[in-house]
Amino acid sequence: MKDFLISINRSIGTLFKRIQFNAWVDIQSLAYFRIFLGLFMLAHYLPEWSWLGDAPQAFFSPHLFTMASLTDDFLPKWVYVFMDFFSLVLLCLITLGIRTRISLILLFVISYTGYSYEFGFGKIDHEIHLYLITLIILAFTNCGSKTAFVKDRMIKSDYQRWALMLLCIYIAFGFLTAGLPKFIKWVDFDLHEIGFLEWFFRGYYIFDRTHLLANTVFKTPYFVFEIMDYLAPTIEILSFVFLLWGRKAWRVYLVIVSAFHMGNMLLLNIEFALNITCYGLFLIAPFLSFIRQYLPKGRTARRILLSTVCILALYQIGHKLYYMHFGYYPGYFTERFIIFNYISVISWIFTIVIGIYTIRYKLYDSAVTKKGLEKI
Amino acid sequence: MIRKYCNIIIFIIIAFCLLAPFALLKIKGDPYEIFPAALFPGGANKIHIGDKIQFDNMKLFGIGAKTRDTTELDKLTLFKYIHIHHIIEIESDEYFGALPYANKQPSNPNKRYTSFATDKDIEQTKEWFRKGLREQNCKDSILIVKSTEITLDGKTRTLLSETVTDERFLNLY
Repeated sequence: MKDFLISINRSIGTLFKRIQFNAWVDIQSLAYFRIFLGLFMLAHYLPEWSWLGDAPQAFFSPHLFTMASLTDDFLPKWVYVFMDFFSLVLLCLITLGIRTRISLILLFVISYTGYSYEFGFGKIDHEIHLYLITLIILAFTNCGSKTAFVKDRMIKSDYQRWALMLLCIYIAFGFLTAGLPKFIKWVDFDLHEIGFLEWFFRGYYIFDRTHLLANTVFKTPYFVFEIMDYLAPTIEILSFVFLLWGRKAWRVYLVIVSAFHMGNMLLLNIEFALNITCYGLFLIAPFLSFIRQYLPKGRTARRILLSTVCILALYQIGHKLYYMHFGYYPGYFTERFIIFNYISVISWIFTIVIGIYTIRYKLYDSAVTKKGLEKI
Repeated sequence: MIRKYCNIIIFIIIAFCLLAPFALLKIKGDPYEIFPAALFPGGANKIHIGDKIQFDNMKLFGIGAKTRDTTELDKLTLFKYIHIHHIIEIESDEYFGALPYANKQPSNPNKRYTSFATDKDIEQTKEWFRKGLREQNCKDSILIVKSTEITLDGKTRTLLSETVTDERFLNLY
């Protein structure tokens, strides 16, 4: 029995090491990605919760296992306004690399609180999960120890290895939970029962998701959607296979799911662009590290970064003050939603192209990365 | 002892953290979904494709202040900043959040909404709707919630009809 347990322990250890090897991203790439993530969020995807302050209290119905269920009502408006501005400040600090680790943890706490109350209407949206988890995972890496204004103290690379491994397991398991129910129901070899069209028709006729390539669905034969019904859940449930297969396979998988998200955006107008903050860790980060030779260095780099962050922060403050007056929120049926769709598609194209380049030239296996890999 | 079997222990902890929220969601349903958890959108429903394609919808109506006709309300104007996902959640609830219908008792009252709402909250929400109705030139005393069935042509997938299957009223005074 004892030998058996020891052998199981060893096998699991090997499994962990394999995932750690496949998930590894070097510190320099992480540092550049931290800047990318900050700018990406500051430029367009900054979360807003101040609108919740005006929400009618009779609609407050949080899930049992969320932070919001600790209170009886939505919070007072000033709390959300504070959270909006504080998250803006924290994102600026993360981008510049000032007290990065603590800023990431605080941003995670604030975002978790904000989203918990946003989901207090009774529905949990899943498009923010990966962004949220990436924040806390990055806090356990050395992303703030390089290319930063105030460098964080280095932590053991073991923490980083485990953190990145947990992130990959989280992604893989998340896809498995999404794919499994679909696979069981959708793979039915029945052309008269189509899952994709359930999403599409409701979206098109009820939620006004009629933009981009949505109209092409009307001209497409039913068998194409049936194939999509088989393809999508199959890709989703294969997540662990790709993760365990190898470093390249995992990144290929992330490019495939990025294309899958872009397809969702084009046909169903469903937004998942925040996931780029997670996939980018494996697809965009090595590319940024690779092109660093062409990027400005030293004081010039600092000045450019500081001015960019200041401009984006001022833009976001102006935007918040302008819209706070009448509690605007970008819902559907608005012109702004259409613009959001285009920005999302551009972001996905960017991620996919960079991802393919990263895989094609094996940027994830650069000299710096290899040093870290040898230690695993 | 712990060091000797540390990988097994870590594996069990990770497996529990991943599987417990998934199992809880599948066994107990949506209200028990844990946030955050490693759960991505499932949405495994299918639609039947025949000569006709049918699915449900919800629409909100008011009574025109001058015309006295039933007028469809613009949800974006009525709910302002609240995201459509959340509006659907409220509409599809038997109680319309914590607001009781005048002409229909819920078969299974949603305790999630009602347990949180006080009389003051309900009055505040009614006032919120009254304002929204007035903005759309409707009488501020009544909000009509209609369940409809959308029918599409199976070949062209275009809209054939939308028929009302249920009608409920919210008295706002």
